[in-house]
Formats: sequence, C-alpha cells, structure tokens
Amino acid sequence: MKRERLLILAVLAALVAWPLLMGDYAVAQANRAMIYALAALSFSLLAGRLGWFSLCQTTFAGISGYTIAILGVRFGLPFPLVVMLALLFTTLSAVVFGLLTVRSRQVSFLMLTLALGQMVWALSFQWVDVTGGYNGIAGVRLPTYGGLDLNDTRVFYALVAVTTLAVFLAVWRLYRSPFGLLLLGIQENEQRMRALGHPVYLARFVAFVLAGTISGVAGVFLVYDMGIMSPSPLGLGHAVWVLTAAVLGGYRSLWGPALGVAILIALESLVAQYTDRHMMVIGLVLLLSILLMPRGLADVLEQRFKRKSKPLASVTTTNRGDES
Amino acid sequence: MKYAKSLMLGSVSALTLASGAQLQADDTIRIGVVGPTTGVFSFFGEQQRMGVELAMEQLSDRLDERNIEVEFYDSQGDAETTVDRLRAMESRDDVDLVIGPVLGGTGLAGLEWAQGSGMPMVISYSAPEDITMRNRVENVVRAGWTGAQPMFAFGRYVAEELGHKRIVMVGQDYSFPYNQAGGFLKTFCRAGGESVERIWHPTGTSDYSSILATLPEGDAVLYNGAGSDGLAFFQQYHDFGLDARMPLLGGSNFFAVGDLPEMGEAALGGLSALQYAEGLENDNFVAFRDAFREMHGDDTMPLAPAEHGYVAFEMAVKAIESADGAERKAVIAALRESEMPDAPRGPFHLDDYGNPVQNIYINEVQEVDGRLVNVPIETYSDVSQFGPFDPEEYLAGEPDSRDFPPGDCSDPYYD
Amino acid sequence: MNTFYFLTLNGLTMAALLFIMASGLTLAFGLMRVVNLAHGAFYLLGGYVGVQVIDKTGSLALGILTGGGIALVGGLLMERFLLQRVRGLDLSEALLTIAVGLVIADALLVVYGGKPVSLPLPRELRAPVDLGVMMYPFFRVLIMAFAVMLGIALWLVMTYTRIGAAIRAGVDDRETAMAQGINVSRLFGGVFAVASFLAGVAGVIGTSYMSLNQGLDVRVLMLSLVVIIIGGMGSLKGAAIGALITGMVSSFATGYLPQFALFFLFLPMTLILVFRPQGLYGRAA
Repeated sequence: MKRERLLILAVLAALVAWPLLMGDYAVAQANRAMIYALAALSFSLLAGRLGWFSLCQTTFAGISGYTIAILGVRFGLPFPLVVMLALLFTTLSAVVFGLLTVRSRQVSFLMLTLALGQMVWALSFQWVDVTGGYNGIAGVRLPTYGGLDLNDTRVFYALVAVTTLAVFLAVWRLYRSPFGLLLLGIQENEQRMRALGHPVYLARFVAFVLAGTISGVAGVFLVYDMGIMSPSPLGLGHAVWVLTAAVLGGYRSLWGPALGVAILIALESLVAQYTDRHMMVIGLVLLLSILLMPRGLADVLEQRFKRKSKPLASVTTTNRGDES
Repeated sequence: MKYAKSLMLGSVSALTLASGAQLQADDTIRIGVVGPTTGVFSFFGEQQRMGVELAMEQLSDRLDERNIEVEFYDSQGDAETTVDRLRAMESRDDVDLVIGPVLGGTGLAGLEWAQGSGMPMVISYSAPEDITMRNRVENVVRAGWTGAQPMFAFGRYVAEELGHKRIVMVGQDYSFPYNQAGGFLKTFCRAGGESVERIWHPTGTSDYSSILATLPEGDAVLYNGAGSDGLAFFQQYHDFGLDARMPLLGGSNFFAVGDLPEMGEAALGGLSALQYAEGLENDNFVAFRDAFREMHGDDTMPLAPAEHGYVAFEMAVKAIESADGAERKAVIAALRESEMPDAPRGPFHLDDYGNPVQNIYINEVQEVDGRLVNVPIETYSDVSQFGPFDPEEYLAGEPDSRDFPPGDCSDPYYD
Repeated sequence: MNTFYFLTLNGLTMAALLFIMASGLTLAFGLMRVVNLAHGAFYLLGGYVGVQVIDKTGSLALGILTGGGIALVGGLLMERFLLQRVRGLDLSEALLTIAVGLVIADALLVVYGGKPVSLPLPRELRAPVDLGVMMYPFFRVLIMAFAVMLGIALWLVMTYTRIGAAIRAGVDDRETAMAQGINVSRLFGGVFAVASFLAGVAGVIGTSYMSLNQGLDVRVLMLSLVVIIIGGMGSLKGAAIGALITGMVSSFATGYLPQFALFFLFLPMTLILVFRPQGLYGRAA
C-alpha cells in the first residue's frame, strides 16, 4: 500500500513539474499523450475487463470532436455547452453501437467494431455539407476567460491533466467496484455469471457505453488541441495506434495504457527524426509486444517489482485480471 | 525471452530521456519542409522533397553564406500529424520558416496553426482558395495555386476554342473539385457555354461502371478528380467505349500528377489546364528539368508539386536574404513582395493576398521522346486566383460548393 | 443500351470480385476463428507483384499466379512463424495479422512508391463482347466466370473431398477432429495458404479495373468484412450471397444516387446487424 502511494505521489509530482520544467513542444507532446491515454484507457476498459478488443474507440473520440466543431464553429454555440452536447451525443452513439455489438464476442466483436468505425469514417469523409469532408472544419478554439487563454499550451495542459487524472481515478474505482469485478467474472466465465443471475448483456452494454463516453472526453481535448477537425482521427490508423499503445503498455492494468501511449509517442518522435517508416515501427511494436509480452509492459514491471520485494497480497485489481 | 524483456525495458527508459526538449539557440537559420512522404498521398510529398533538394543543391553557396539549414518532416498526409510536426519545428527545432504543407486538408490545418504562431510559411501545392482568400493571414503566402485558378482559363478555352456547349462533369465529392468546378463554370458560362451537369461520387470509389451506365449526353465529359480514382475512371471510360461518344477532358490534376504512364497511349490528346507543364520548352524550364532528372534519375519527371517545392524554397531563401536574417516581420514582408521572374513554370508575382499571379497553360498529352508528357498548346498569362473578377466582389460572393455556382448557364447568376 | 442490364452486369462484376476477395477470409475464419486482418495487405502485395510481372513478361496467367503465389508465401510464413506461437488465442492472432498488415503495406510503399498502378490488359480482353442483352467488356465477363468457377470448386472441395470433410469437422469441433486423427495443424496451414492465395489473385484481377494504390488495403479489408458480416462469418454460401447483395446495391446506388453510394454500401450490413446479427448463413454464437 505504501509503495502504491509513493508511486501515485511520484506521478503527481511529475505531472506538476513537467510544464514548469519542459519546453513548449514537450508540453504539447504531453497534452497529446494524455489525450491518447484517455482513448487507450477507453480501449483497455473493454479489452482488459471484458476481452473485447474494439477498433472503434477512436471513432467515439472523432464523433465527439465533430460535434464540437460543427456546433461550435458552424452554429456558434458557446464553449461549455458544446462540450456537454458532444459528450451527450457521443454517449448516444455508444448506445447505438453497443446495441449492435453487445451480443458478439472476441474476434466477431473486433470485426464489427472495425466495420462500424470505418463506416463512421466514411461518413465523416463523405458528408461534406456537415463535416467539411476531407478538409474538415477549422477554427475550433477554446475561449479566453478574463485574460486567461485556455488555448495556451500550459493552460491547456492543466485542463487536460486534471481531467485525465479524474477519469483515471474514476476508472480505478470502477475496476474495484462490484461492477468491475462482475465484468472480470463475465470475461472468465460467462455461463457461470449468467447462471448466478447476473445481467450479462446489460453489464457489457453499460461498460461499452462508459468506454465510449471516456473516449468522447478524449475527443473533446483532441479537437481543441488541433484547432481543426478532419476525418483522419477516425481512420483505421488511429484505431490501430491506440490498440498498439494499450497492448504495449498492458491493457489489463489501469496505468498500462498511459504508459504505452507515452512510450509510443516518445518512440515515434524519436524515429521521425531518422526515418519515415513510422507505420512499420508501429507494426513491429505491436508484433513484438504480442509475442514477447502479451500482458504488456505494466505486467513485466509489476512482476519485476514484486520479485525484488516481498510478494504483496493481491491488492491491485490488475492481478485479478491476470488470472484469467 | 528474459533478455528481450530487459532490452525492451532499457530502450524504453532511454527513449523517455531522449524525447525531452532539445531547443537549440544559435545563429543558424532553419527552414522546415513538411509534406506527406508516407501514406496515400506520398507521391506529392516526395515530389516536393525532390524539388527542394534540387533547390538546395543549386543554392548551396547562398545557404552556406547565411548559415541556412534544412530539415524535412513527414506530415503523413494527416492534419493532426501536420500540426504536431509544425509544433516540433517551432518549439523543439527552432525552425524560422516553414515550406508546405502540400495537401488541401493539411494546408488548412497548417494555416490554422500558423495563425496562432505567426511563423512565416510558404505553402506549396496545397490549393484551398481560402488560404489566400477568406482566411488569409499575414504570415502565410503561397507558391502554388487555388483550385479555381487554372480552371478560369480552361472554362474559357473549352467554350471558345473547343466550342463545347454542354459538359458532363464527374468529380470527387469534396471541396477541391468543387472549387475547380466553380472556376470552370464562372468563365465557361460567360464564354458561350450552356450547361455543366455535375455528378459527384465518394472519394475512393473504384468502380465507375454504374456512373458510366447512367451518364447523360453532352459535348464532352470532364473528370474532375485525380489519383487512383482518376486512373480507374479513365480506364473504365475507355473499357466501355465512351471515348468514342464523348471526348474526355481532365481536371487540373487528372493528367498532371504522375498517372500518365499508367494511362498509356489512350491518354494521347487529353486536355487539361494547370500553371505548370512538364513539356514546357523555354530555357529556364529545360535547365530545371534537366538538372532535376540528373539529380533524381532520368525516369523521374519533375511535376507540379516538385516545381512548387523548388520555387517555394527559392522564395524563402530570397526573403531571408532581403530581410538580412530570420527576423519574422522582415521575412514576412519580403515574402509578400516575392517576384519570381525566372521560375521554371514562367514568371509570376504574388497578388495582395499572397497567391501567385501566373501563366495558366492549356496542356495536351503528347508523346515526346517515347514518353507521355503534358505539352502546353495555349497560354493564358497573368491569371490571378480571382480570374477575370474583381477581388472584393469575388470575396463577397458565395464560396463554391457542390452545386454552386449554378450548372445552368442561363441562370441569372451569370448575368 | 439498356441501363438496367448495364447496372445489373456491373453489380455482378463487383459481386464476383467481392466474392474472390471475401471467400478466403471467410474460409480461414470458419476453420480457425482467425480473422486475417492482413487480408487487404495481401491483396495489395499480390496486386503490385502480379502487375509488375505482367508488365515485364506480358503474360496474364503468370502474373495472376505470381501475385497469388507471393501472397500464399506471405500467408504461410505468417501462419508458421507468428500465428502458431499464439495458436488458440484468437484475439492475439487477429492482432498479429494487423501488425503484419502494417509492415507489408509500408514495405510496399517503399518498393512501389505512392503512385496508383493499373493493369495493362491486352486490347482483345478489354474489347466488348455481345452478351445477347448488350455489349460488355470481355474481361469483366471473365471475372464473373472465374468467380463462379471458384465458388463451384470450393463448394465441391468442401462437400465431396476428405479435405473438405476435415475442414468441416475442424469448423464444427476442433477437438473431435484432432481425436479423429486429422492433422489439424497442417490443415490450418493449407487453408491459410489458399486464403492468402485468393487474396493475392484478387489483387491482380481487381487491378484490371480498380487502380492499385496505398490505402486500398484498408478499403479491400472493409469491403470483405462487410460481405462476410452480411453472409455470416465462416460461411462460404454466405460470402456468395453477401457479395451479391453488396455488389448489386452498390451498383444501382452508384448509378442513380452516386453521392450516397457509401451510405448504401453500409446499409445492408447495418440492417443485418440489427435483425440477424449472426449474418444470413451464420450460426448463432
């Protein structure tokens, strides 16, 4: 327990120190990392708890981003309102997608979410009157409150950091709640849970909608970070990127996805200075992760940590997931 | 297995350290070039890169004198990546001037960023007209074109010289082709045309047979698009023998950006319009073309994106020289005054809005030395992004869209 | 010219190509529960290599065989050296295929560049032939004939041969099949090889009228998925019906409402998901 606290304190300290010590670009990178950490968390919530690998979590982020761009830029609705509407609309989309996919499992789920995600991508590309098509919608800005420009990299950082922390804490609570345990139970043995009288479909459905909403939060920041909304975040490339980050970091643990995203962003920006082969790099990272450490880096680190110290009791929910 | 794991862990920690900030401050002037060198549109980014490389070689003395360094960035053809690379240029790599982006969407994303940053930017091939029109900002100029610009000339040519009255236009359903259609209609209708029927299809359509099956009658078909869509359309148009019924004209990119070898002999005689033609034969152009092919291989033709990158780079270097350094305000002022009397494509200068006023060539596909090239057969000089129209009036009008301007030339809009 | 026949023939050609693309995918899925998400990348690989061979040698058959062959080799290597390591973990297998797809697509970009490529067919193949109702390009007729023959061949193999029986046993119950002495591992390799071969062949044939380009891998994968989601994952009959529905709807939509073609492409799939989520011929999970 003490170790855990220390770790949390260290993370908090790093989050506070980063914008104070680092340059503009490093802060901007951190913003992107946190945004994608949210998307990867959304992915991991389904993958780690239910064994559902979704290729449409970034789609929800995209839907949220488009809602903000369309309502904010085209219709001029004010800032806090568009964010609420965006989250609402994203949740509704997740409800619809959830209804379509809730009965499928494993590989079928992967294929369905791939097809559905690509369908929305095609729509965003095609529905030019509404989405601006390939060129997208430019000029998405946060407001300035009394001289405080929310678009400023460091101010934006504060916004993203606080929200990201809050969402991660909420998911941490969720993982330990009876509902979280039920999800794990469903992944382990669906029949048994059903026999015990648990509403399996409903639980899955609720998890799917929750994950969609988390991705929606990522989408809000994504669009304000870029200033423009275009179809590219909805493409398969982004979905695979998020999946790779989650697999690399370890989708069964809470902090694995964040770790994976951080590493992948650092790796990409390093690789980009030498070569254009970023797609191959992502492919190889995914390949090696699955072959060498299917449980992700978080698990490798945790094992190492445990071996050196006395074995801890099963305090982290992560360990429960590993048993499956 | 264990080794692999420790290796991964080790490299991870190294990476985290390496990715930290590395802002450099010295008297070096840095030019950042951004374009899609990977992804679906990598051809355009590659061409720009090759053009810039040629300019770097030819201007190497002047670069040394000013201590100018060049760095290339891959936008992946993606708006988000473009913005990320631009941020890296500004606050990590201390770049003083940006060349690019190349594509429509990334151009608008770059503009959005440049507006907040104030970085001097020379946009090369990216053609949305609002970059130098409704959303123009002081620090962004363009070395290339707007979608409507060459079509102003083409509309006139098709009506006056070819005498076509009714055009069937099949195009990719997004803003660049809308803009091309807009430019075409605005002059075609005023030069004696009767109607343009527009048929829009989703970008990425690969089977056009059903569009061809329901194609209305006209004097000619104009395919308003390019790339793999354009190539597939071209092939199927000939498969179904429609070339015998109606001649096929091209939008600006249709014959112009590298698909000619794939189209083969059937493309001979194909007409389109652009501010560039690889079949130009004046001295400046021939020197450019020969040097380019010497540097990048005989098989690599310099096409418009390459020349635009080449010229954008020269504009940048000239601006830095006349500003005597990289001080932003001075560089921007110099950029906006750019005059390029010796550009390979022909002389041009920038208008008050930052877009070239330049020659537009009507190009015909011909075989020259066993190779298909676009040869200019007619030149319209000093065409601006507003064509024959008054800038203020043009800007006050409605922007081009899927069905604006009207396709019927008797519409009161054309009075 | 009768527009109705024209659109019908277009729809049939499209359906034929979709069937060639999707049959391999659905076979592999049916037998192994592996969805090969590198399917689109194999299409691209087969297409690029096959077209290059045709360019060099002028032989269409050789090009199709090489295109299919290189994809077959790719598929076999992937199956042997990657998928077998995680055999039984369906999702890990699927994720590995995504990774392989990315690597292949990027490697193809390095080798073949970013320009679209088309297939130089001899004139006599492009020329129209009289089908009684109208003139139609000969090679399109050939594509349809090929798909029909492929369908019949696959059906015969599945119904009447020992291998087919083994495959069906494998689908129904892996354990029993193994107990009956069927070499499941070799069977898996064989089916995967055939599936990849078909993807590569589709790549060459498809290039006869759709140009080959970076990014097409994702579109092909998506189309194939749409087809097998409609037909039911794992069902060969389903793939045929799914291809027919998708091809026809898409042809008539493109003819009359081109702006909404994409919407109509996805409409049947969405309806199926709502009303019959296991697909027309799929078994309920």
